[in-house]
Amino acid sequence: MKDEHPEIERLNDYLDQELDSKDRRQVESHLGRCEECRSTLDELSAIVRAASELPPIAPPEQIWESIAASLIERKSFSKSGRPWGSAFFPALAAALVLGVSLWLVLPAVEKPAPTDQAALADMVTEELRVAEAHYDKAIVGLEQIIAQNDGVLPQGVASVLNQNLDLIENAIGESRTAIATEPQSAAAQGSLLQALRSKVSLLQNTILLINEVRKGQGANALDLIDEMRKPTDPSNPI
Amino acid sequence: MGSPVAVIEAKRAKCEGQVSSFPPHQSLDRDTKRREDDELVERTRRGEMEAFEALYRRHSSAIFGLALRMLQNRADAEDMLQEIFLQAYDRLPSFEGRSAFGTWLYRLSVNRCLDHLRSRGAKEKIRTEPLPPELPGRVSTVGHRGLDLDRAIGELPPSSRAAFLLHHVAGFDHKEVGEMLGIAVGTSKSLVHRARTRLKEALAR
Repeated sequence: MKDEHPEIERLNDYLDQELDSKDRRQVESHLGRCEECRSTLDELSAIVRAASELPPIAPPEQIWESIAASLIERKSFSKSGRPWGSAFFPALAAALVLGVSLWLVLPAVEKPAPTDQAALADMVTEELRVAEAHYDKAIVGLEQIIAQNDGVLPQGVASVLNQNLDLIENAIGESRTAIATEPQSAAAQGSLLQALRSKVSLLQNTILLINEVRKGQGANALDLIDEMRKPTDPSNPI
Repeated sequence: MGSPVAVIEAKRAKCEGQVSSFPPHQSLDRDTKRREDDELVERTRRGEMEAFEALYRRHSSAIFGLALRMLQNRADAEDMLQEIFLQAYDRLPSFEGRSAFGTWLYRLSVNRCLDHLRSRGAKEKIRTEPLPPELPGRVSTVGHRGLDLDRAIGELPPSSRAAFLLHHVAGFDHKEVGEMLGIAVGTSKSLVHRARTRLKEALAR
């Protein structure tokens, strides 16, 4: 009787131990006589073994830094906010609201009692300190990534970016000076947070630009450059 | 060469050894890892960035490996990893803990990769430009066998590639793979078998 080769699908089932005992015995009987099918089974086994040994691959460190910076950016300044968020982020959002707009609104609403006002001011000052620390950490990480990629961007582009960074640095310095004079000034606190936010955003865009230049995506890079010109707009209140 | 029976017994033992040796990442400490992940998820929900960073540190290498092997392009895989974790963060409120966080994250990841491949495929069709035989930033792993296998995996159709990676590399059983990909258990088996057969042919070339 002619001994037909089992189909490869059947060998796969055999490998996965999915044949019933009768079918398994038939395949085994054939394998005992057929070098070719043994070789096929060996190759399939080797693939399964090699696949199970393929290692995880560590991503570059800057990916976490970008994720963290995005989360800080989105959580702190999202218009909609996040109902499930931490005590930190809503408080930070509150600090922003106070810093950027509450001073515009307060004259029109009833002022809180003095003790409440003092407690609120203390809370905002504390949250400002925490927010600053988070921003500073993100900025350090982003600056490290950019430093590691020094020379990737064309000279002219790098020069414009540095000018923008200088503007933002000035705004941060002025805000900090104002806070040193008036620690509970809502306007100064809001200004500082906004300047830090601008810096994180500019650094994030710089990293995206570096990635696009590396990938050779000229059109995307041009879009990003347009986006990054915005902070130099004098009407943009950094 | 020994007797046919001895040969068969040796093969069977070898096969059984392999079957019982995978999935590699679902071994003794699986429950412990799940409990630790659950705790980190809960802390992340309370707003602790450090907890989310810990989740990232625990899972990013596995997910990056999946993305790199699915997309076969390092820059795309890096962008994808970032998108996956940002989306995971956004979706944590809807994570109910019915599956392990790692399983949930894999499901999110593999489907994002498949969407990306579909979208990339559509764009490539529109551009009608042939793909270069060697994409820049090609997957590179330890050893020639790993490299060859990684390259061959890149030649599989996306759905077979996904099923193969989830089953044989990540170590999920066919029921889990089926749930992740929205397909029947039998379809998962069929995709994995087809992938193994094609890999065998590709590696023989």
